[in-house]
Amino acid sequence: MAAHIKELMKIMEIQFAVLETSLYLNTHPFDEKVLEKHNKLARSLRRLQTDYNKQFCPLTIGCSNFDYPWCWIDEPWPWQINY
Amino acid sequence: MWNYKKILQYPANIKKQDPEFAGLVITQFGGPDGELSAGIRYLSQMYAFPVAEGKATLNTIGTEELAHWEIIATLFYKLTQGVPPEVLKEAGLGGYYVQHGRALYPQDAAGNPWTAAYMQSMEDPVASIHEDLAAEQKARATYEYLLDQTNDPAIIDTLSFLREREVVHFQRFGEVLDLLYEYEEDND
Repeated sequence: MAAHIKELMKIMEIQFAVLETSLYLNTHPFDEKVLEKHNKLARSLRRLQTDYNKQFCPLTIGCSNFDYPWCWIDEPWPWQINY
Repeated sequence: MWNYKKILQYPANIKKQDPEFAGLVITQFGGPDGELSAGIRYLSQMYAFPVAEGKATLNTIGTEELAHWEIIATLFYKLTQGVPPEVLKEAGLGGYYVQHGRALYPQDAAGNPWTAAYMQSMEDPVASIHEDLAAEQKARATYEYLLDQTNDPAIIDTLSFLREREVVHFQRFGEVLDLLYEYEEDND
């Protein structure tokens, strides 16, 4: 599997865990343990994404390390990738 | 506001092309119990919703539904990519092809275009949450019907994930309903 796809899969896994904790916290805002877990996961996610963005093309507009030329327009888009 | 992240929420692969199944899975792209209906429903209800946990839940789940909408689109895209028009026609997509080619168009499995008539958004939060609970069950059931119609292990994996999400969403809306009843008691 291509290196960048492997990295995408890792990001998918952690971003999902972040989402799940966020969704839980929406109805349990006073759960301190899960809130800590959310922040810990979010830190791991941010590290993974920063590394990915530096190595490949950034996943979101608003990253400050876009190389020349503007790669945001490049294929493949997420629906064109074989995971 | 909404940002876009250039990554799917969950992988969407296919083992082989199946335009006939594409004509079925499109119901979750533009049909009554699909991801677009869910996303627009929740993101419409959230503005007037009176309880903080409810607004947040509608916002988070509504946004997630749009990510699911993208996954369904990915399945349709891959199932039809490069498939010749005659084969599409044989598979029941002749009408679709002459009107849209292989582009994604939000419609149900019978060809009815997406409409806001598929959803409701009411200021009465008890009504809206019951609408949302029903929506999640209908979506879950629809995924089960779709899973009955394919043997492709890659598609089964993705649709099973999406089905599981409906079950979790149902639970979260149930929690909002409980909070809603408490809120109404406190404010009587």
